[in-house]
Amino acid sequence: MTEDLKSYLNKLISSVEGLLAIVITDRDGVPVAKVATEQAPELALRPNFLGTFGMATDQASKLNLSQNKTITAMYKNYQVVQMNKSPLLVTLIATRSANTGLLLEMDNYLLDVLKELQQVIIAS
Amino acid sequence: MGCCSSCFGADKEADYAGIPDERTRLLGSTVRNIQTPPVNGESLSSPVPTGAPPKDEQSALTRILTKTARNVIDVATIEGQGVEQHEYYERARHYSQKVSVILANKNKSLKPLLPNGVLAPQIILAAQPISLADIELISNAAVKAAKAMKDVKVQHKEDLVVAFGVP
Repeated sequence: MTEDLKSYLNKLISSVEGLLAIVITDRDGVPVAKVATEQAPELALRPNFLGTFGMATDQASKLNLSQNKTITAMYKNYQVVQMNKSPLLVTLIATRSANTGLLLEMDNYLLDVLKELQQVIIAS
Repeated sequence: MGCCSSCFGADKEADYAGIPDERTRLLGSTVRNIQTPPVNGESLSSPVPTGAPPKDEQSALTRILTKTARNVIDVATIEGQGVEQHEYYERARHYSQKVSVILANKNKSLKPLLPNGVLAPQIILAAQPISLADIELISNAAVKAAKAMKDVKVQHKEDLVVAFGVP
């Protein structure tokens, strides 16, 4: 059944042009589910990169603009969209030319998966 | 320094003598003797209400400090809060086991919302079209079904509202 999850995430990756990786982690950046293509930058898949968003979203939620939901970072060759789906974090790594709007819409396709995976964190 | 010591000395003398003068404190010595307990290693010099018990004061101060710490935007905390490598591997393994257990109990399989893509659309597009006879057959069947639906009539035989137990 884990293979089922992986193949589902792989299908999502292939549905958006330029999307290189989908990583679902806990607040510290420890992966719960991870799917990446060969082109995905290895440094962006490390826990200290992924976990930074957990702290950043907490701090950004203190700006009196209500809770922070998403942070998008644009780099020279890549873009990273990170979503706060407490207690999980979703990180999407894509090429710079990928459609950011489509990436932000990906959470609709991840709703079922996140619902299941949240139980993993809650049970732990 | 000399001034300070003489002031303190004068204060003591006035206190011991019990005679009010310009150096006598307006508030009693009981207020002066209450010391605020240090919270988180820092002594607080702000005045506190004397009526409340010390425990309540301390918990109130702790609450304020916690609230302030929670509201402060501290970017420095982002650094150096990584997970130890062995803990990382242990947790990752634990999650992977849990994921397999949870997904194994799930009956519904994960399917994308969109239909599967076709790698060679030209094969499907180049396929033989449906024959005219088949189209005619389906159209006639649909027309007959629509006509039959139109002919359905409700025959009114008795009242729709039936009174129970009404004399």
